[in-house]
Amino acid sequence: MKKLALFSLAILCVITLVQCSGGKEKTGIAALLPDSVDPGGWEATDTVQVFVGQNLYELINGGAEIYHEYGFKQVAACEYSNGEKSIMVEVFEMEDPRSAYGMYTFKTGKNGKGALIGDEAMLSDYYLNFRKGSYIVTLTGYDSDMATLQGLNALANDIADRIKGVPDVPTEILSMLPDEGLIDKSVVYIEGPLALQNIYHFGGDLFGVKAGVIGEYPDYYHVFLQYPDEATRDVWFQKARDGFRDTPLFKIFKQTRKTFTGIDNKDREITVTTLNNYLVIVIRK
Amino acid sequence: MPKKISRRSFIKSSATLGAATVLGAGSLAHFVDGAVSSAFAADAVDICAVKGSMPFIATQKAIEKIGGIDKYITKNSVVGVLANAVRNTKGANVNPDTLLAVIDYCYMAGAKIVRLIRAVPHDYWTFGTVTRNKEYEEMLKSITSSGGDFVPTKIEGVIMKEAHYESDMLECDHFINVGIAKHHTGTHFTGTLKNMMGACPHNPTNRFCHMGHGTDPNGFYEDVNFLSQCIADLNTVRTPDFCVMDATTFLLSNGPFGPGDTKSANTVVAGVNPVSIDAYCTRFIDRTPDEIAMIGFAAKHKIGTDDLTKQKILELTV
Repeated sequence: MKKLALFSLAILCVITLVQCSGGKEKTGIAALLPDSVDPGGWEATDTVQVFVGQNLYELINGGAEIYHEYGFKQVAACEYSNGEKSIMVEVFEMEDPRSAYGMYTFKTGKNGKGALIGDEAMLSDYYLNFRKGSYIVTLTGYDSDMATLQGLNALANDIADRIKGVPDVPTEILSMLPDEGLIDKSVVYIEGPLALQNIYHFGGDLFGVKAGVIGEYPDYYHVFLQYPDEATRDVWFQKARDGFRDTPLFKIFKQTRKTFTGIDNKDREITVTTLNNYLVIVIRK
Repeated sequence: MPKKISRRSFIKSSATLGAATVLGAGSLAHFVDGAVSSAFAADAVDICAVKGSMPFIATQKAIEKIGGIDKYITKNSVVGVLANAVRNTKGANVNPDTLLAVIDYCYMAGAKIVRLIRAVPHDYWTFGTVTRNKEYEEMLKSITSSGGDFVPTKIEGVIMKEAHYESDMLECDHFINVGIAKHHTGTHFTGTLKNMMGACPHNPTNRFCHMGHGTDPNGFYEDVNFLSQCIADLNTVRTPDFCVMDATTFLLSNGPFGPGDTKSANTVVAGVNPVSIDAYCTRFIDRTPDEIAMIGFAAKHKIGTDDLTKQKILELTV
């Protein structure tokens, strides 16, 4: 469905330049970006650029695919300056609040500090991510100076106030992760194989990933992949089992009726089993 | 014609910038002289990794140790430099001082023109230290970038049989690939091999690489092996005369654009071929060469070896 939506959007792909400061009144996603923000005297330095659908590559060529995997719709980008410092702001509209949540968990790391902006926010060193409704907003400074960090906060709060929307978190999937030992801020909600392959490169989409969650523990990752029903899960269980058995990635392959295990050349053990309509993957670090 | 910068003027201006406070003016002068004299050393290595607080100096030292710039750049030549500088986010771009050091050395070796195969972002040079030196103003202004003249070219790839390349990359007398060792969400690692996509247009070449086996026209690089093979194929058309890899500060997550977690290894690596230098530099993002599919595929094309035991490697701290 997401691919179909993207295809439709691609037909309509346009790059619009909307005057950010002065001139015409902004509309649509561009209107989420202010002309200026106090305190700190932050002002837009140029135009708001809007990229729709597959034209995202013009903003982040080579980095666009993960956004598409989560269901990217459009982005508005604008740079701000207070005369000395600069901040780049990007407002990404995703397919729905759940997609925005997933992209947020993918982008934010374990080292950030929570902030009370939007539905959820994290300040990390020189940048700030927050999500609200179907939007994920990334504000990037060029340093970690106090003025920059204050600017990140001021701009983020202004933009958050302009965004309407309610959150939607996949609580059922998230609840699958065992609490004990779960590393703080390590949870990543995934909607496709690319996000999963950032934890372990399986050499392809062996699991037909549509929705799932990754949690990091001291010695391993737990991955729960959700399927519409147990029959679909069984189809992917068998495909993944065959993939494990046939790939040169694993030097050892073992299986029982409801479990299979691959051990790779670095002696990392990956075990797959089933639980209701989920596949459960345990990846040893 | 850019102004040629003497080593003496560089030392003087670097000291003005505060370099003296890092190394001491005396040690800086001693080091630069030592770097140049090593150009005549007979013991050139395949890969040299130089750790130091000044990327400009580390870069020049690394180049000297792989044989010196005179080995690679001839007088009155046109040099094409493909640098990975796409966005002014911490850890996403080649350090401007590293790129400047490469360009500066090319001119010192007698290059007539040094052209960037891909334009650097607006304000890019202001993020360097040595680049803000007035002595380099004229040189930086004179640097031109290729203009998007992409030429269809036949290649003998496993997957790709034709690709479009920037004509300047194909036609320049000498080609230098300057990458940054950073995370990439798709291929896990971006180095010099992946950087070759910067010499190609999104449509049709790079888009094709991202499409997977063509079964899904809206697919993206979820098919990492396909993309990796395409990258290896793209590198068959022209092997760089030499490569430089920036591993000073780089993204560990959310690459290639970030923002994301960064790491500073304060190291610049020079090497004679992109496969070996990529294989060596995977360590900076806590990976091994066999985890990065494009490295193995490129080795099979005999662009270079990914077996580092067959490489003469020198690691230095300056």
